[in-house]
Amino acid sequence: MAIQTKQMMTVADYLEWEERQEFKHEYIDGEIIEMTGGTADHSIIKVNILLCLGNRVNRQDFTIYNGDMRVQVAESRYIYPDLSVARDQAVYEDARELSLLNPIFVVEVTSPSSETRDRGDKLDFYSDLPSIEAYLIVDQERLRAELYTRAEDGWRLRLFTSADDVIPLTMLNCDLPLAQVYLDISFEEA
Amino acid sequence: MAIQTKQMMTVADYLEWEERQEFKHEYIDGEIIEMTGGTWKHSRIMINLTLAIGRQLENSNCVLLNSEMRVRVSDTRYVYPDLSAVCGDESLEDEKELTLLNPVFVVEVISPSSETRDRIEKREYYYGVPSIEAYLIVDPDRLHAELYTRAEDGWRLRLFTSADDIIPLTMLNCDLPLAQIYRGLDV
Repeated sequence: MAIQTKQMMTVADYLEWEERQEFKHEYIDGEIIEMTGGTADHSIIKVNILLCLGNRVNRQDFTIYNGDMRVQVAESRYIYPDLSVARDQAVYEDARELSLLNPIFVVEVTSPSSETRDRGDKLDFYSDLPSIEAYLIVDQERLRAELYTRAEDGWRLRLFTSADDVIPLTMLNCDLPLAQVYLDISFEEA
Repeated sequence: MAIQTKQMMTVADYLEWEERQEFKHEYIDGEIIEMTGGTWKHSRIMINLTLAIGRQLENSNCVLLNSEMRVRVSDTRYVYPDLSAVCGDESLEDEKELTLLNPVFVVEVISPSSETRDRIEKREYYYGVPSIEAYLIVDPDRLHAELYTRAEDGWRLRLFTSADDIIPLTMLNCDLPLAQIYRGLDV
């Protein structure tokens, strides 16, 4: 979730300034975007995915990060995916390991305020970071996940909307059942 | 562009009612969605697209249709793509030729009010129509086009964001330079 403000900053100023902030901020071409809190469902879904991956992914080979891990997706763009995974050697921009450079998998859980940005801008940003092999968008308001996997000249998109669907995360050697993602979440019938 | 209203109708009532309306309305599972006008950029891009693609289809067996052409995407869903194309014989639902059944290509130029709907709902509807081989989404506010082409288990997506990018519309046997879509626009 994000609120866009109109401050403009250099990359160096942003990196130095953000460390002193109470809340997280993304940085897109000079612009600062404040990250806000989320709903209960948003929080539960993120924890569900984290637990599920934590149990299924081989932790010797992969590192899982929650939404506190900043990712540099381009020289002048820093964002906080809801969840990221790095393989083998994670590479950080700085000695203090504040910005991850080589995630192979990122997740965004959409909220009404972020939905357009997750499917539009963020898809562009993640496209530009070659290490990212897959991008998962999980809908907070209905049983629905979109898995974008990198193909030769773009993305392959698969949609999962049924409670028995299993999302194959081949790059992580694991399967993510949709029912696990939405554990404890109930949707109002439309 | 669309405004959702909460009227519920049967398919037959919608088809009969819509003919008598001044404005276009889509129909999704009983719900009526009124189509609104668009912005300067939206309109310019529509014309640019029409010219760029239309010219290349002149000596082919494919034809381009504008947003007046309603498309049935399922038994209970009727939409108006911004552009659609048919190759070979067209298949129309009714004698009055109000509804196209077999487009091979559809385009939506997004607006802030339609963006999510174009990317989520419409992307699914269009995937459900087997004749549709490709779906193009164009963003009027930045150099950005998304080409979805049908694969066995979902869409395949290619993004085009650079002024020298060329979008290959193989199903129409034509190439669409991104620069032509945004011709005359400052994006």
